[in-house]
Amino acid sequence: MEVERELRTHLEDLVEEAGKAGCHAKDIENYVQCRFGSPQNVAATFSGVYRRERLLLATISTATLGLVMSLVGACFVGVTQWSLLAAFGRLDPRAFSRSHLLMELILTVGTILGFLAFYLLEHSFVRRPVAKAILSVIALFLITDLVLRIWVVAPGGALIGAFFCAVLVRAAEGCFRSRMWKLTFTVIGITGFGVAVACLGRGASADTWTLVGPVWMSVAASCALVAWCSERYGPVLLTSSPA
Amino acid sequence: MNVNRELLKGSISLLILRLLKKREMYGYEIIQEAHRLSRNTFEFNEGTLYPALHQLELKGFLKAEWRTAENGRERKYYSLTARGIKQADQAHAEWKLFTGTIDTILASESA
Repeated sequence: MEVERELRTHLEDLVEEAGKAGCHAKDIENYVQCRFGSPQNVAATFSGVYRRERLLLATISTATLGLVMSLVGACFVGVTQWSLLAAFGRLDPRAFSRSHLLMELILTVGTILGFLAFYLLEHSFVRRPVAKAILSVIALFLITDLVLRIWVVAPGGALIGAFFCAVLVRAAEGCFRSRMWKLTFTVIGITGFGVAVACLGRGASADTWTLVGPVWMSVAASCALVAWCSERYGPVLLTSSPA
Repeated sequence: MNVNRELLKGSISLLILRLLKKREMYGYEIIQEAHRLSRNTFEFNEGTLYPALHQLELKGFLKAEWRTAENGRERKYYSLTARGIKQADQAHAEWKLFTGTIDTILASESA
């Protein structure tokens, strides 16, 4: 990074000056820090200089990551659903109707983006980050519901389901340290939620368990992947700098 | 008597522009020149110079170029752009107006 190169050169000049002034080796560090100032203050001032560029870069990176994850998740769930229906000889056209696919898309993408929103908003707020993130995500879902009702279709329970699943994934990330436990909780939680909703709607049957269960497991797997990507790439996105 | 650092913070851009109007310099050199011209009155955290330099560069008042010195050390030399020269003159005029007004008020109070 250019900034690092520039500051390093300045510090080298200061060290050289301190040496010429007769400072002992152990005093040079104090001399340099006294002249240069606190690294935290310098870093804080620099982050203000490039704030707009960093925000733009973080927004573009986050939007790209969200889009890619949503596409991957939606495709994964769609392929799983189709494969199951084909395997059980249940290729019902209603399963691939526009309205059904739209609801599935809203559910999967809503869950993925909902979790991403939780993650990023929590790391953006300083005071009471969890409470503010929850309120912000609820507001985002309400706005999305309104937009969908006006321009596309009333999402019904799909958006509520997406919010609930996003909360589950967030809870898994917050309550457990081990990736294995996070994955287990996510899969059991989301699959259990999906099967429970299906049982309420259609009644508990072998069909419900054998068809609905694996589809919801694929949704859960997508969500677990998103959570892992957020943990892996989130800090990079949030601290990205153009300089 | 050392000058309050908060006063200095507000005028660092003006100092940078005026110093660079004479000749191009790198960061450490700007500090040395400011110390020399002020007879060591001005002392500020040198790390804060660089955010100011980058801010001025982003605004288009400065341009920068990396060069390798004889000792092998890489230095980033800053110089004024045409906009920077205008801004230096404008900032100087504003400063003279500001300090002139303050001096007038202080002189009238002591009279």
